Amino acid sequence: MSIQPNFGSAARKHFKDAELLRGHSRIANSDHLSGLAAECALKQLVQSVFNGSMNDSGLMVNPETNKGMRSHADKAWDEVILLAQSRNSSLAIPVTNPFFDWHVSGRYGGEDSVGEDVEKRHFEGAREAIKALENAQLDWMF
Amino acid sequence: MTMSAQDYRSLIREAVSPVVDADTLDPNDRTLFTPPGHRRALEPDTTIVSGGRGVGKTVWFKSLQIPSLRQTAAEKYNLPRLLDVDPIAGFGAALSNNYPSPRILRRLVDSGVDPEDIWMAVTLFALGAEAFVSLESWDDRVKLVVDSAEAVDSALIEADRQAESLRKVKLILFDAVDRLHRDRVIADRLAQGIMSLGLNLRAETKNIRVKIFIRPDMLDSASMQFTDASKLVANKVELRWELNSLYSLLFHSMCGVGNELSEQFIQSTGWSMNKDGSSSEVQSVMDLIASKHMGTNHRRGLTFNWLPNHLADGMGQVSPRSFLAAITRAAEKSQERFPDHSHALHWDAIREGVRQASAIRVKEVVEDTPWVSKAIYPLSGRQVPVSIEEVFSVWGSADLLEQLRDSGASPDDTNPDAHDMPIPAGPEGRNMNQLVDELIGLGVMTQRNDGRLDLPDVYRIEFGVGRKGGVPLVRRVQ
Amino acid sequence: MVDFDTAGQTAIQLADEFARAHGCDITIIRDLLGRNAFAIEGKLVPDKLCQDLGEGISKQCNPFVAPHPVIRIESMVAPELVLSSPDRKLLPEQLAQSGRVYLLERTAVGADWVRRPTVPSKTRIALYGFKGGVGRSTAAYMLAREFSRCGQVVLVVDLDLESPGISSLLVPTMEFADYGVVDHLVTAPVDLNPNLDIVTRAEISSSGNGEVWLAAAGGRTRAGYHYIEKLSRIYIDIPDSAGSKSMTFAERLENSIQYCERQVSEKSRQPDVVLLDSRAGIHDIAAIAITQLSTFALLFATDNRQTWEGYRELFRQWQVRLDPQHLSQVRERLQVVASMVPSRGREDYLARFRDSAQDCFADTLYDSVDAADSDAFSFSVSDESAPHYPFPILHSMDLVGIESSSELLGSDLVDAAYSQFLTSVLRMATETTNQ
Repeated sequence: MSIQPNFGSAARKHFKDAELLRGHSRIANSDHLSGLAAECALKQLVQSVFNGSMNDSGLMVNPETNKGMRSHADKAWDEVILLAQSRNSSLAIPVTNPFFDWHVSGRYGGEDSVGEDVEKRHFEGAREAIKALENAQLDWMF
Repeated sequence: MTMSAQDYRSLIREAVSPVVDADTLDPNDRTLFTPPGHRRALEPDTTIVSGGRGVGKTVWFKSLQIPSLRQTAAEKYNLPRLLDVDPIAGFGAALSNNYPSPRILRRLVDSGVDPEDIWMAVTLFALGAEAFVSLESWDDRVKLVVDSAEAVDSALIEADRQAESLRKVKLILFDAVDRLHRDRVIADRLAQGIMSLGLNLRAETKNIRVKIFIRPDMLDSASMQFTDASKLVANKVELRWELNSLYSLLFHSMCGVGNELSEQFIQSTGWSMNKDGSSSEVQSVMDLIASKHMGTNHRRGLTFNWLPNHLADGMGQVSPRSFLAAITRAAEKSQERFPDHSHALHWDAIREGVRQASAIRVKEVVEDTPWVSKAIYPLSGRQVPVSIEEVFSVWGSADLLEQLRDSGASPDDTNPDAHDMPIPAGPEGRNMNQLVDELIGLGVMTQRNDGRLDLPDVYRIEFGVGRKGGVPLVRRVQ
Repeated sequence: MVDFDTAGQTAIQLADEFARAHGCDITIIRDLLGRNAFAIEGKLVPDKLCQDLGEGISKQCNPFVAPHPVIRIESMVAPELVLSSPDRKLLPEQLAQSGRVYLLERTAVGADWVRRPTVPSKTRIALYGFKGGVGRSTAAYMLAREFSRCGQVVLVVDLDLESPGISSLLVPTMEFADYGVVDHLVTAPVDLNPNLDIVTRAEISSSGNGEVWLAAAGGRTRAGYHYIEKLSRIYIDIPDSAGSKSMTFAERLENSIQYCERQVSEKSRQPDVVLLDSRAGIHDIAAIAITQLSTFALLFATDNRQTWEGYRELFRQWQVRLDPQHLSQVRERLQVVASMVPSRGREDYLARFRDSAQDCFADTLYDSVDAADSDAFSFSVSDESAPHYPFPILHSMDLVGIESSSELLGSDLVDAAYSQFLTSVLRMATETTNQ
């Protein structure tokens, strides 16, 4: 049974839990949730600021190219940057993608599959993504 | 009864084609047109009449010599003094016994004779002075001038007295001055001699005058060395054709055909021979003949302005001949390609007409000053405006200066007939900067604010030169 | 429904009451559309109270209110966006007694106007000046008067929003309507049927059926009426999801102009001519006016380097950013006006002017042609049909420092200075409508 997405809220949900987990040294899963949080924040941005929408396959459609976008943070981040540039819009996320080495298959990794430095970078990246979302929300009140 | 587009086309072609097709314009009562701006040129006291090719210098040169035309002019211009004028040709394009040929002129000049003396001899011969008429050759007559100042003086006094008693003004006319000598420098000196003569006759006689018809660029170069030139130049008259006069000339010709169509034209427009219309008058008649704009889009321009604009040279002058040529060709083309168009002249046909007229104009310029084509053709394929440096570089590659020097002063010894033919003079200038100045003076080139050189459309197109633009050809949306 | 300013006032009142009553800090956030929301700093404030507050705001500030009007700062991941924003200002006690109400204005700069052109209705003439002080607004006045003398109904829209000029020439400032163009621009995105009195009749004496109407940049100056805050909000393109139809800035401008046109037709009849007075500025209203909103554009210029460089830059942008068809349309709409032509040495000045103007156009907008091309968009310096070939307006000392229309009436020198310009523009307008 699939759930109606509320990406903005989901982003915060994942981020809060990631924060909780890392407070208890649960690094690998915190890292995974950071990636999810960023993914949701990006999706909400595309939807609300750039007028993107979901297609039947459950993919966010890039309103510039009309093609389905990559879902996960490692690839989605760059796509969103490009999208913002082509709309001459400024987004408050760093241009260099902090999730370049994050992968959804991390869920299958073991306890020590993620290093502390990497996890830290991913957590900060997720914060940046949500911050950008909140910034956009202050502008457009969505 | 309103005239159809076809009617207008026929009338135009009948009226204008003969004028345009003839190599030389021999004016007659019907064709002579008296634009207001030319009145002063005809006054006996005006010594220098300047004008570009096709502007009508030769028309006036000839008209003044034909009694009936002189009379027409005197009436139209309300210039009764013209009736008292006794015209004599002192030099012209045609060979004549009344004046030395270019060949003889060259010989005289080569032998070191002062040009003014040559012309004095011509004048006194023309005035019928005993002492000169009895001599057989120009060499002798000139020799008499040189040797005997008294002979000159007494001849002049006598001629002046005669003219006075008859209440006549003896007017010595000079035309085709650019054909005086192949070498431009010498041609200039000869022209100077004419002006000098004019100045002296003004000072020394009451009833003998000179009138010289001369191109503006030649006037400039001839008067440069002539320190007293300013007195004459000050009262020179430039023959110009204003927009309204050009159109009036057209309508005048159409009125003058003398057939049913021209009658209809006179009836329906209220135009008459020799009328010089106002701006609104000529525009309203033109509206009957051609559509208001040069296309369906108003941005294409008003036909009335577009036509002369695209025929104007760098001095803003349109030669009546090229103007009429454009119109008659436009009429031909319209009949061919757009017979059902609402107006007699279709805009595309006008464009075609202007192109053809430009070709004629260029031919004229090249005939008058052959070195012009040598200077401009190398620019073919480029775009204006073009920097002076680029022009110089092009000229350098084409060895222009050498070419001009070769075809310049020295006579063609292998061709004996060449000496008898009037040959147009080469450029005054001996370096590239001077060439540019001359080309500008001829109206062939113009100079932009930033110093770059431009070509008026009437020459640009014929010489195969494009125009610079920011939107490249490939991108253009048709 | 309340207007922009009233919504702002009310929001401050409500925030102030709440802050006092419950002892918390409140930041009023006005988004890019001018909608109000409250960001509350108060962990202890119960949800129910926040909900009630939200309902209150929604009711009293509609339509200038956010869909979710209450935000709890603690729930934000990046609360510093509000609390440390350099735009967050504490309201003085005269405005909010509690001393605990802050205001955070969200503003934007820049607009993207490179879009497909809309087809403007009727004859719209944009007057554009690269810089000020070249007599553009005076020319707009003279043009409006001339059209009205021909029995036309003219609407003048003052789009020089940064420094309105034509407005006060046409109507005394005390008699401006309640609202101006800026008000419609800021209200339309949130209110589908705004009720703003914008157009007012200008008293230009003309016997006959002509009329001149003014849509000023802003409304009449009065207590509670603010201009700058609205000005900073209008230049944006609005994306679809922000609670309103997606619209580019150009479309918003078009809408506002049409709104003014409709008002004129309600009060009198459909305007025959609309004059858009605008100037080069940061926000490119003028560029939009020329490329998308008008039938043709009069480009005012004096012959100096700064002007030509400015126009070159503007044209270059078009040349590079517009697709060929759009570029083709735009360049056919341009006509240069030489303003302040000195009466002495006029011909020389105009000759130099034409040369510079042709050079500017040739560099950017004219086609590059070979000798054989006859149908191209390319013109020689002296071609009267060229867009660069200017309509001249003579300089007259009478025209310097004109402050009111009464000074313009009845001056022979002024009439002489404008006669050629007026005739040419009227002819152009007639020919364009007849196409």
